[in-house]
Amino acid sequence: MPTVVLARVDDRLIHGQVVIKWLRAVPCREIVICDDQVSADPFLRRVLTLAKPPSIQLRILSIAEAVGYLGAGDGAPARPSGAAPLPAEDLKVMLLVKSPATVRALLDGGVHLDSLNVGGMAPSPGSRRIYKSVSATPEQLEILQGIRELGVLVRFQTVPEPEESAVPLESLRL
Amino acid sequence: MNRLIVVTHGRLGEALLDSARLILGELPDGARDVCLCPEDNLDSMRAKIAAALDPVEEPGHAVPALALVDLFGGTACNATAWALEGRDFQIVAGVNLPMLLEVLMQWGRLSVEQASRVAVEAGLRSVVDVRAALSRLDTPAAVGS
Repeated sequence: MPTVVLARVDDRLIHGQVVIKWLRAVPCREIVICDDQVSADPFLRRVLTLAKPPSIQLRILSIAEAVGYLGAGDGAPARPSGAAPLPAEDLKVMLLVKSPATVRALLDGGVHLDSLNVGGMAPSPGSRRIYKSVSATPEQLEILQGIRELGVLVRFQTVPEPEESAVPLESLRL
Repeated sequence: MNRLIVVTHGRLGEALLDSARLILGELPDGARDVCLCPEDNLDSMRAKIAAALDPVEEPGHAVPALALVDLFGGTACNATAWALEGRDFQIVAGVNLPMLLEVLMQWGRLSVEQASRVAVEAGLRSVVDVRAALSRLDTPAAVGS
């Protein structure tokens, strides 16, 4: 089962901050984008494939596929038919999603995450800015709180250094 | 009128066009910048680019266009590439002032396909190690030649 070395909520997915800063700070061989809409959009899949650095593999998965790929803890993971073979045990991956709801679905599906980095959420109707480039609706905040209550360390941070710049959800004044 | 858009992180595109105006004077009507702001994501950025490319009266029917974007693989570039779905235009990444000047100077005479090639060539030619070039001038072979 691949190891998630960074799980990040960033609705730009692969972009300058991720490629230039995060991939250097958190070495990994593969980026996993998990998003039902993106995975069903062949054109956008091609665009994101072009955007990745040549040395990094990219997998774009639906939530159901990502649950199977990233493993459901003990039990045998549900794997989509025709999926690529499972990689070696030690494959380090960076998980990118657009929204907290996707993270919650992955956790509910049995994917284990120690921590979640929240780095970019554009304003949407009803949202307010809670951290640099992160805006959230009350519903999204509630989902983030719920993720924290599951024991996941939820931290806000746009770029990796300095490390102490990461702001835990519980210390944000909301 | 062909369109030229400069799509960048922050206000770099606006600044590049301002600097080009300093050097060249008035710019072609179809030239404008599209700014990727901190609050933009892929979807909002694609909508901005579509709005810059499509005539107001005919959304979805883009005129011939060239997009110069700043960072290959960045959101400005990715959203512009995504806007290619259903549209046909040229995109060159790595915009800098020499590239922009060369394209602007020839803009009225070129198709957007030709302008795209001019942009790539000008961009590639524009990066020079000046110290090394000076040193080459000073080598014995160059002295007195």
